[in-house]
Amino acid sequence: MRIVTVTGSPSGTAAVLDQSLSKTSPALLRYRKSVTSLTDAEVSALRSALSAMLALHDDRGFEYWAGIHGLPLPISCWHGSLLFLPWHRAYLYYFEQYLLDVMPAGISVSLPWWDWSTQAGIPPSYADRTLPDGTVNPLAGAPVSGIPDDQFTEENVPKVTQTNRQPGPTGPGHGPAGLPSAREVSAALALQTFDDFSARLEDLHNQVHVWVGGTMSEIPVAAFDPIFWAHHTMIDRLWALWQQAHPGARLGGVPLDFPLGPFPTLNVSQTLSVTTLGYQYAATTSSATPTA
Amino acid sequence: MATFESNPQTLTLTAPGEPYRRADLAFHGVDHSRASFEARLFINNPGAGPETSTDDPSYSGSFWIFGHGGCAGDEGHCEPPARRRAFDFRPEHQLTAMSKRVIITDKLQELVRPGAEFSVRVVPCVRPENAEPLPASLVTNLLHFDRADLLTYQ
Repeated sequence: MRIVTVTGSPSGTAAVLDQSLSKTSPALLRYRKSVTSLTDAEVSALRSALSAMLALHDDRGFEYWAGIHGLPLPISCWHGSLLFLPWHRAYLYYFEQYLLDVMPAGISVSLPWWDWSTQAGIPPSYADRTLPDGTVNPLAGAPVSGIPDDQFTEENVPKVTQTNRQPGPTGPGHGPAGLPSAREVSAALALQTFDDFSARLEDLHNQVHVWVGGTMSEIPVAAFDPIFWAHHTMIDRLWALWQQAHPGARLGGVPLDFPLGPFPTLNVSQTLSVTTLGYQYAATTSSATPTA
Repeated sequence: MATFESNPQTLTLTAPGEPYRRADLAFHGVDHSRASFEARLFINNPGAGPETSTDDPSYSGSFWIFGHGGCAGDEGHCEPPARRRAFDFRPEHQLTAMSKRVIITDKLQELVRPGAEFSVRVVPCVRPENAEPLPASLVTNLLHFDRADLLTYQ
């Protein structure tokens, strides 16, 4: 499915945020782009902002936000639940806010998505460990830090100090790429109820975690890998596309006022419109300023 | 450290005698506390194992578990309470067993006559690369669920 967006407009199920959260003008909506459509300058800015977050060891930093998903305890993410999509949308939203806080002056890059269904393999901008100038590529890996040693036991995931990946096929018969196909994504988007769609999309999501392997393959440390954020932005995008295709669809039994901890200003209903959260997904954008 | 050994399980179910437009296989009480895995479903193929390809005609879909990777807390931390007290408004325990559902309509209609008994082989699969760094306890007897239901809709 292709979306061409040139102006912001409400989409998806209506949600009402507090006035304090709804001052964003549609004209100021951010557009989350595909990893492959980022310009060199945008990739550079993304790397710079991520490096800045990595350098912070307080509650604005990468370590803190990566740790919310899994270790250190408590593990806060929701999986195997209809809260999977709302919770991760809130998680991305908060992470993105802190990322935007440390963007280089004069440029702003929202979280990009990795379309693993059409772009087999880790995107080059996330794969190359070193950059042409010899510096470390912060999108290729990150320290796994801030976790007390006693939360790595003999009975859980081994202690690691740096993320690692082992991308590869997930088993015989899943094709050479081993990632969910565009046909599987289309089939998921065609499902009519939120329950069906959420369950199927979460399964495709799980498959990608297993495909990336290494740190990404288990919940406790997955979010420390920078590719986690591009993967989940893809998942969030697919939910947004499904919402556009199924306007008015209800969330089944999900209580809309359920608080999405530990994000203090968001409950389920406040995640239902990406526009209300200040962003949209765009396959292409075209902008212009008026001339006389 | 660990080598994954699959522990497939077999279900025996009965297809509906009446026509149906959709069939789901719903698994309940699925454990997700340890390694991530894929559970592949094969209809009427009791010998299916982790090496059986998803190109096999009996392959009918799969579900994926994104695992919790074992317990990082003290004793009892990862044991969901047997029952919740009244007025306990905390979120559910993270490791409460989950339900998974796979839509198997096309394969069931293709492979099983109306009203016939059939088997489903449920085969857990873990990538060797992902299993290797984990303790054996996270990949041993990995597949566990309490019940499976075939649900059809007309």
